[in-house]
Amino acid sequence: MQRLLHTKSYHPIREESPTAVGHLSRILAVLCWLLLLPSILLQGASTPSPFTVSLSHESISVGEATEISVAVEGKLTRDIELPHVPGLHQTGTSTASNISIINGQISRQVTYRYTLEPEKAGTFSIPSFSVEVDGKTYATQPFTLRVQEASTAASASPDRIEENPAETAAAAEAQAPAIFIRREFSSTKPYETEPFLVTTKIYHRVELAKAEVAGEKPTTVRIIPLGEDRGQEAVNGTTYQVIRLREIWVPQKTGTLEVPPFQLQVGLIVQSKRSPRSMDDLFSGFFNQGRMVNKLVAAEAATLAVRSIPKDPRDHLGLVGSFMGSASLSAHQVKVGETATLSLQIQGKGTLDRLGKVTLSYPPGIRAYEDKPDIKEDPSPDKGLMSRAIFKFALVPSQAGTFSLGIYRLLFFDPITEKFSELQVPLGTLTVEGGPNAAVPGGRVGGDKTPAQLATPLSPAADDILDLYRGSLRETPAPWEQYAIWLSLSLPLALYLLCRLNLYMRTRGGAHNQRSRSQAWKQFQESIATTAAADPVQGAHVLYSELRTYLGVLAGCNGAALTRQELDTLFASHGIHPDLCERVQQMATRLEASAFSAQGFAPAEAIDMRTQLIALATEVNQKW
Amino acid sequence: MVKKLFQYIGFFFLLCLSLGGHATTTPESRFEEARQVYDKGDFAQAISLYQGLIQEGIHSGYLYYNLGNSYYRTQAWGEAKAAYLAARSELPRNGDIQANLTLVHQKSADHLQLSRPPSPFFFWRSWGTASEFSLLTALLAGLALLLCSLGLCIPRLHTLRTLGRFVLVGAALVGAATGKLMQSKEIWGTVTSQETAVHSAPGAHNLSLFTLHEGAPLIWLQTEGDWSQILLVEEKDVRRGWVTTNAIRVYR
Repeated sequence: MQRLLHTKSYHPIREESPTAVGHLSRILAVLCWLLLLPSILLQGASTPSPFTVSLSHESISVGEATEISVAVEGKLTRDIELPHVPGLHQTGTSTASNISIINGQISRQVTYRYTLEPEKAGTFSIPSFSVEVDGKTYATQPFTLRVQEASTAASASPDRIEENPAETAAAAEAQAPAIFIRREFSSTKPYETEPFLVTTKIYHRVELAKAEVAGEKPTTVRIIPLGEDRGQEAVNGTTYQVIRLREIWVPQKTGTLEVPPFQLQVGLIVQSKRSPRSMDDLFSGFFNQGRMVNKLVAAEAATLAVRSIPKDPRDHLGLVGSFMGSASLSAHQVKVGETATLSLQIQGKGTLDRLGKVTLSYPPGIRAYEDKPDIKEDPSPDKGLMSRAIFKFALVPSQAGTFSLGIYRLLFFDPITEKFSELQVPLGTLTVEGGPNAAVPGGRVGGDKTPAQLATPLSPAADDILDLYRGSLRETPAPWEQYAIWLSLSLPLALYLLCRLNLYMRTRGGAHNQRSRSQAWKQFQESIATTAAADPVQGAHVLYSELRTYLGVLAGCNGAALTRQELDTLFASHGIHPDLCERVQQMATRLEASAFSAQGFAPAEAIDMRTQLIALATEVNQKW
Repeated sequence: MVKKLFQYIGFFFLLCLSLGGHATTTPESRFEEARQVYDKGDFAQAISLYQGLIQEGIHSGYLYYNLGNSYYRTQAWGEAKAAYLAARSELPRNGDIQANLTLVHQKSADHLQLSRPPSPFFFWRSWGTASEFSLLTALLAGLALLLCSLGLCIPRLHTLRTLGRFVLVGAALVGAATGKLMQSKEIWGTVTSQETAVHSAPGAHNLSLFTLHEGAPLIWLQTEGDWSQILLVEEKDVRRGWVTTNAIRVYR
């Protein structure tokens, strides 16, 4: 079962339609099984070979290559040595591990591949060679390789396909693994801290349900991932989907760098040919068109040689790459005590990990404060690892004069030229003028004194600050402010409340008592009706008296006791027309006076007064 | 009788002595004493006296100002600036404080701002203290009530009631703004250690964002254990971070 899965996993089998051809092929398959069963049983009784040897192509053309693959299940106790064949060159070797975990059983297969390239056309015999597995020596079968001229091969190839194209394609596909991994290093002998590109290619021709990196990573390398991309590549005539994982490695230690095998836990979608036996199988087949097989795939381990940087008599920080630099000042001319910012930028190909703290030497009279450096890395598959570091220093001069800030020097090793180079960055010149802070020990302003005259470090400009406060200790906020807040709020509030209370008291039962008001108005209207038929003068008297009563109800007091001035105030406060008030007041005065005079009050005037009184009462009723 | 009289005289004498002794240690007298030792050049003693007054709970912009001057004399730029900033929060319109603060700020290595950029709504923030704005609110409210009272008492002046209502609305607005100002009161301080790292979260194991140097002005936000969260005002941006509380000075 295990072997079956191994082989079947390389052959994604399509679901076949139940046609007559399909039925016939099934019958033939059953007959073949019946015929082959005795031989399989006999083979199972004998000792199985722990390895298989295959030749990728038995017929190639000049300029092409073929591979001898030795797949070993077990431990190889002696290195395989291919026999020397004149005219065939071994141009490369590689190893691939294939670990399978199926139903809890683990099997490991290591495949050793030897690439052979022919020098010329002809037929080459590769004799049998020995393979020692688990202490036992086995002999392989010999192979024959036919090599054709490039031109004839190109024309012959289609003919061969025409002879039996289906068989040739099936044979090629049978030999091609379903998934394998290769790793490529842009440099196998990098220098210490020299970044190099590592590309891990995952070739697969079956669908992957999942893929998780499971292997260990080297510990003496800083790894910067660059992401992945996908594509297609043809390997030995078989087209594979390729996942390329790219990383930049920065070795941190010289010596041999053992790269552990890259391991990938994958889930392969294997097409199932058997008919559904249960509902689960039915649905699984309907939705997934296959089942998932977990597999651990591994690339070959590798060994790299990390070279140490050659010795240099000068002070070398261990930087490897190619760098350039620049420096700038935020202001080339400042006053004493003011700040100018010096920015030093170093950038280039390589890592600046070992740059560390940049220490500059400043002329006397300039104090420098370093900011945290800003270091950025920009890794890319094309350019490699590009780095940039910006160092900023705040320069505070305490003396006037012109100061040369010198040159920043940085030694680095260029791995391309394999020589040391020195980067020199001029830092510029700072001109410092005497400012208000340029005090001298005597307390005087430095002014235009030269640096030589102010050679001794200056003490802080003590006299520059304004003098002490010499008044009495006044708390802030002053305590009176709190009192003022309370007083300014409470006094007007109390006054306002008193006014409101007074108003309430005055209008109690009056304007705010709607019931009394409506009753008084009703009473006044009744008096209008009763006085209509009476003597006009008498009627005016009664009506005026009723109006006073009505006003008294509105104002919350005795209406007859209201003085003329008070009535004026009340009318004005309610926006009642002053002319009308004035006319009524004058008529009322004459009416009251007529009682004591011989002239009396004319009836016509009494009728007019009645009209004015009714108009005033109506306006009061509306506006009060 | 004579004995009792002597007892009373003795008691009165002791009372006078105790009152006299108390009078020599009043905050005012110690403030004066600090000024005298400052004039003699004993700045450390002046600092000690000023700090003692602050610890007693006396808050005075003048006290912080004199403390800042004393620190300035000892070249403790960070401490001086912290004291000037505290003085500024008490006396925002004092020119002397502003002048000395500007002077000591020039010695700072970090390019940070001493105040937030003016906001469109709170541009008046630096015009006065919260106490002054509270007083203004109270005065406006009082004026509004006074106007309403006059309008009620004198019917001819009834239009004053409308005016009073408008003033009352103004007082309410000023009061609300003052409340907001008091709620978002900024407490300024400085870095007092030579150099300190600003971390992304409390704890030295957290990511170090950048480094501040002595005298860097900051706004204190909160303290958690030995760490304080701070806000730094740059020309166009603000940054937050955590520093060890020992590395900064804030007068709250």
